[in-house]
Amino acid sequence: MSQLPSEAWPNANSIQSSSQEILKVIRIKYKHVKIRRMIKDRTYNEFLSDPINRKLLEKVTSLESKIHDLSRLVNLQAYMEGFTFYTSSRYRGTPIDVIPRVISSDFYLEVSNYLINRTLILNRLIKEVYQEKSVPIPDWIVKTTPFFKPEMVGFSPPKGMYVYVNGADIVRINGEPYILEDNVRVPSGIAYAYKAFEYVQRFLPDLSEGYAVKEPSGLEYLYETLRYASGSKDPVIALLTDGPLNSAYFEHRFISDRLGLVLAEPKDIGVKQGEVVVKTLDEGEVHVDVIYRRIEDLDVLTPELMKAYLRGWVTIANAPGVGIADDKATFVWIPYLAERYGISLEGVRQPITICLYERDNLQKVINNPASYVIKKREGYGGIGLSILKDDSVSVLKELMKEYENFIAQEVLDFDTVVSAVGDSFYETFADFRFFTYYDRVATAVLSRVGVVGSRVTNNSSGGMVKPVWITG
Amino acid sequence: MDYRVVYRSVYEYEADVIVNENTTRIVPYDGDNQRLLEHKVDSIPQGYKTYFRDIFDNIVYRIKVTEVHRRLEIYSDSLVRVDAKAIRVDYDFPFDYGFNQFLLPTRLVDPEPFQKIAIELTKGAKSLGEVIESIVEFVRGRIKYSPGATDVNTTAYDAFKLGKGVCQDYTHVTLAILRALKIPARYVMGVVNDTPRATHAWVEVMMPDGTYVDVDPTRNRFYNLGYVKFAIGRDFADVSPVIGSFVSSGRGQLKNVLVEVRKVAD
Repeated sequence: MSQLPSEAWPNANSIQSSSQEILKVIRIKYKHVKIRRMIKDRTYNEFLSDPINRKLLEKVTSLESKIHDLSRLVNLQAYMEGFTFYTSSRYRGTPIDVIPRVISSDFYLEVSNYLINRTLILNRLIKEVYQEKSVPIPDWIVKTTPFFKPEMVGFSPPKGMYVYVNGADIVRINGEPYILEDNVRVPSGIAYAYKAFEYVQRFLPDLSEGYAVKEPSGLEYLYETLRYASGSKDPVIALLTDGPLNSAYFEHRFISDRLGLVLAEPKDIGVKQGEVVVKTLDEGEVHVDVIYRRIEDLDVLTPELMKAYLRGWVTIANAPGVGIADDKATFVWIPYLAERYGISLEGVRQPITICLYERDNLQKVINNPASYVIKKREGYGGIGLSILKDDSVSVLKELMKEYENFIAQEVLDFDTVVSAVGDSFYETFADFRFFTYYDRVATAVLSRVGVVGSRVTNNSSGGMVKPVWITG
Repeated sequence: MDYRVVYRSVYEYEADVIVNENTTRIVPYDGDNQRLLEHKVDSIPQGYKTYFRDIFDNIVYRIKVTEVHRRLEIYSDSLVRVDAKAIRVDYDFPFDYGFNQFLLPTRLVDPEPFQKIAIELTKGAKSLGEVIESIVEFVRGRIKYSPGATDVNTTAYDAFKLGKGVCQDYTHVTLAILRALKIPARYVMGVVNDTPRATHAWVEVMMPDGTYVDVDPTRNRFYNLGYVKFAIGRDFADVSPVIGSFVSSGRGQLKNVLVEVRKVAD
């Protein structure tokens, strides 16, 4: 990075103020593959603007059509190996975008320090609500969510831990990180980060020439955290899945294989006097210390397990009832909670987000819908995320009917990346998902890419996954 | 006027219920012209109980029963003081209230299809009192009281087209017309003070001074009704006395609801 001419590769900080101007300069100075654009708005393309991508872009340019052939091969191979997600009626391959997203160690560290503190805040909030029986944010927000578990009130989970894993969605604006949401109920995606990384290393090893790329890690943090909570040196840990029809079943298998966990479905779990057992193929029924659950609804699928948990017979991670912390209405209050708990939150910004139960906020959004992205609180059905710019009338009416279940966020023109799709390269929107395992952040980072032209990056919306390289 | 108020509902199930979680609004509202002096909410079998106030300041109990059962009883026992309000409805009509949450469309009350009717109905009306009275008269003329014709999910417009309904529907249609005229009005769920058989619904209309006046379109009564209100909201969906879900292989049904209101002091 340091040997590059500074006038051509300004650092990210100086780009911030006048990104568009500099963008033009860069595009003139460097030759690269043709990047198709289906986006109307002006954007900050980090591949063209952040010098960290220079070598990668050169490599891509020199390989050009070979990349598209290898991309097809990667995707075919991944599908054959079962790298899929289940949706409505069938297993679909998880499309891999073979162009890695490169971030610096400094960026990773900055985000990771932030997320460790943020996860601490979430854990602290959950503890305050359930153990200390005080709700530091509007009571109704916490108590109307379907994820509030009244039976957790007064219960002390092992080691005071509720959030073992937090999957945080982060985007960049002119290179600066912004957090969009926390996911603490059953966050998924780390296996996709590992696999996308592996496939690209396997099939396109040339791309990483000249980069010192960190190997993805993180699942071992999960294991250590679960072991710590169990209080045993060599605990039996089961991964509880609802089975092959779960959209992330591939990941459930991947994690249990990697970490040597028992992959169990609700029917395999039994509760005996004083202990929880799981049926295994080779050893029959065995005692379980910890359940890493990847199912949401313990009440319906395993009501007995919940009772055993409350008696202290088993540890469940994430703890039941954590969903009060990643509710979108709670998100609004995180900066306030940081202050309340005296925990610093620096390095990542939280977009301006407002709750609509307050009349002035509601009025602002109704009068000027195009300036906001609206999101519905988790577990309230219907639309998830809507950008009012694109579709205002019907969404606005939905919002009016139960405004307290919506939040509004400033529209962020987040940075774009370059993706290989079919036989072309496109400019696309992409986010990051970082996984925090209690107090450590995985270097296996996922980047989800929206369908060409779209800002929506959910896996279920048909986008791709992209490997993330942490370098230097 | 002090009242002892008892609410009790009993549910029965065909098969064992493993988890039963309900959100209840069965305690008198504590505010406006009411003061809640005592209250108790519980269930048989007992469960994990949480209390909170919702965005309308209604008192809500969320009760989760995890003991296996085939019968669930949810009850409350309260003491409430209900005071008369100074009522004034001779404000000029129309009046511009500005932006107000109680003017927005809701899940069950969309003012839009009532726009024309509302304007037609209030031609020549000079005061809010006249407007309220003519709306109530109109609604009573259009809807025939008939239990079973509608249910908890019936919208104002559907009930209006059907021409049948119960207190909930009278209330929804009245609200729709008031809101179509840009007069903020809210749904009230509670109990009447003369031998109630179930919970009742009526309307509270906002006055230009920010106070609310009570109107019962179902029973054609106006102002200072003396009823005991439990909860206020945009429509029935906000104030449903008991709403919840259970996990069981069988079906369940509401066996009976008992409401008692007894005057204990003047």
